[in-house]
Amino acid sequence: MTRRSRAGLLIVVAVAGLAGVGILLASSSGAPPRPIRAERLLGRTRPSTMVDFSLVLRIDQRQVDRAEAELYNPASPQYHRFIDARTFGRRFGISDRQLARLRGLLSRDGVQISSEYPQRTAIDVAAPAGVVDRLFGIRLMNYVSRAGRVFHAPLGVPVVPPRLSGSVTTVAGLSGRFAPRADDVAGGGLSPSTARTAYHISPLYQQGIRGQGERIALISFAQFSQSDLDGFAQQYSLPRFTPVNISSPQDGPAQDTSQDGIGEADLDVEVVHAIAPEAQILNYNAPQVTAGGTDSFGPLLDKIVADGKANIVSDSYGVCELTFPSADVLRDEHAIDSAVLHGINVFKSTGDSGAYQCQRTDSSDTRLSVEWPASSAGVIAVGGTTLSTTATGDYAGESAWEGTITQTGGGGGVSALVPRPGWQRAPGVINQFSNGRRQLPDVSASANPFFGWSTYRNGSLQPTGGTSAASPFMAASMALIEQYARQHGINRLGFVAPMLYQIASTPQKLPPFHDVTVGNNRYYPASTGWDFATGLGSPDVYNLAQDVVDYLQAHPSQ
Amino acid sequence: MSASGSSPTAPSGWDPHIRPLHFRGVHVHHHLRGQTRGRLRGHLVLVTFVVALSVSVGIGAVVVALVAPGSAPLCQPYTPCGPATSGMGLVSQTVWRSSQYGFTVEYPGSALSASQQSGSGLVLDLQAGGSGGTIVVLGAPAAEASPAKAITSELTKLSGVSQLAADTSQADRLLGPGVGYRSGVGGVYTGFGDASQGVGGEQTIYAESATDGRVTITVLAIAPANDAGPKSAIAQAADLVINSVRWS
Repeated sequence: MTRRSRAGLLIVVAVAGLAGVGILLASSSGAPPRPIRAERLLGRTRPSTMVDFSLVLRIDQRQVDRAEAELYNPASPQYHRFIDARTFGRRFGISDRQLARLRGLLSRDGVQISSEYPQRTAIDVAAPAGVVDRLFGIRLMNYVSRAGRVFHAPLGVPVVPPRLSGSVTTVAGLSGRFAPRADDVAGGGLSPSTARTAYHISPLYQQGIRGQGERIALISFAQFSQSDLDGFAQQYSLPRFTPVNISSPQDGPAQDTSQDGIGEADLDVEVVHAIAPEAQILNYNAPQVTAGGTDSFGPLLDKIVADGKANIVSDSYGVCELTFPSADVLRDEHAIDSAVLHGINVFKSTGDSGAYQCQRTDSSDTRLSVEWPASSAGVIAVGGTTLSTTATGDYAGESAWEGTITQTGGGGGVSALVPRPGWQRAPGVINQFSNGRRQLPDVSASANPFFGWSTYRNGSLQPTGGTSAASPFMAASMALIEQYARQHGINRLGFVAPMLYQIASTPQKLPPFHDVTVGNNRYYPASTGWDFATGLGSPDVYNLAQDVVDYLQAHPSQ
Repeated sequence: MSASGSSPTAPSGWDPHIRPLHFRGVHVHHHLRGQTRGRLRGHLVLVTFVVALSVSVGIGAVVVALVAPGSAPLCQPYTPCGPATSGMGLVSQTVWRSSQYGFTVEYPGSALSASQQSGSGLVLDLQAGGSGGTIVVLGAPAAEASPAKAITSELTKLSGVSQLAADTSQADRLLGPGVGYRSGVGGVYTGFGDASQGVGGEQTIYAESATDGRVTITVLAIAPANDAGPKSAIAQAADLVINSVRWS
């Protein structure tokens, strides 16, 4: 097959794969979510209560899909011509006139605009509950969850009034029922130096590559503790560091100061610093759900793309894909689209309940399920392993992370919403569990809490695991790879998922991944090649760096 | 997509019929020049130098060609490539081997200690808190006990626990049970520990069993039902032990 015909095939497959997203989302729209057990209705939300939500704006999805396919097709003239947030808005979003008209209509309806983004994927707004009820034909009700959290959710499916429907496709964030959960588990501990040795990062260190010039954005719904970070740096002789806090313009900073919340925030930041200690960490944070209940992932990612400061993002929070409202999925997906076209990599943990991710929200929900947004085709889904090392820290083997008694394991399985993207092709991808939908994870790394990651909390080292650790590990490793690539004349990596699959599928000078062939994730077995328990495997970071450089030098930007 | 070659390839433009240039040059110089002895001696020095240099360059080129990354065989996707990993077990683990059946079990010596052992199995106690919990690992001939039978048999043999009942809650169901990465069966049970005066506290018992056709291995984990700390610790440790079993 010639390069051009291969490229053509890639475009067709990728466009076909990406175009299917809308069809599946539309089909799931309006489906009543599975009721969560033990929540209690408190009564109608007071009409004067201010409610935060998002209006998902129309974008030209077909053009976006085409642009994504061309951007990552080496044979296309548009290959690696990244599209910034403003250009995304101008090319694919509603017009200036439509936006001005929408602002006027919302103002007349009593809806305040909280945030707009140059990519015009959505606008975040607030309005009294009574206005929301009237405008979208619903009734907002208050509930209390089993854990005691009060939230509101609509009775009925919101309908966008015709006067807004030219610019607005749907309304997201009206239900606070599905709060994202952190994918971390307390347990064992892997020191920075052991992690660097086991995953073959040390040669990069020896070349002075430690993340200089790289910026890694973390999506966080809790505040880290600076004294913990100081202790971590001191304990492991790493440079002292202070992440840059960037709060949500709409919802303000993260408010979760619980021990669990701080633990998750510390874990993300410390793992990144352990691997790429000279990289700058941008801590994009917001309340986990707003006072009104909106999931903050979409707005935070929109801000990251609009700011254009970081090419690498890690997010360790997720929700059960089967119960998350389709409007909220679409709101997130627009933000992810703009990130992919900007060449931004979002590394997303796949969750810690193995093949049953909805069990984290409802322990009796034993359906095979995956986490959102890990199942998006615009993120790199990071699963979990149990890492074995020798006494000197060298890599000794890895198995899929599984705990049948603790009901834990690396998230992996088939999406119910998203078609398998055209780039997800490698030996093992098509197997007896495949059904044409997105398969995850893409890659994996140490997550078993018993042998997890060493973190510093409240004055001492405390081990933590979960795919919450694997995701920032992969993000930081990719930052090192980007720095290495820059030293070899490559400016940017772009969205790496298609390249990772290409590298895994073709002969390489150096094996880029440890193929994990042992273990299960409570349902799916690890096996030779790609598998649902561990994806392509865990990275041999130095080998992968060299293979990435070879790939990008063979496929240069035009 | 075709591989770009799995063996060293010749540089482009290479013609095996052309002799190396440095040999031709030496002969030309030797026959056409050297009219006087002095000049001849000078030429000899020059020729010797050129030969030595050429040989060095030649050897260097061969060495470079051999070690150059581009000439090494490429790693095929998902086939072993490069130095093999040692395959050693997890560090800081204590390894126990069944003398009767040959299987091995690894456990973290820092968290668990073996309180009883025989040729067919061992009992591990959670070190923190004394009566925090227990893990039992037992082998039996597969011909005598299927995994389901083995669980029933081991549960009935449990001493110190009474009023055993199956926990049928969907939320507590063991999904994907097995031992040593072999699929098997499993379940959760409740019972009450014996106390010096009547019935003691409620216990949770996790049971998983699998067979390789020769031996059936069963793991029971017993923890106080209402004490979250030891219960969580024993559950974590039991998962480790279950996954660490290596069939002989």
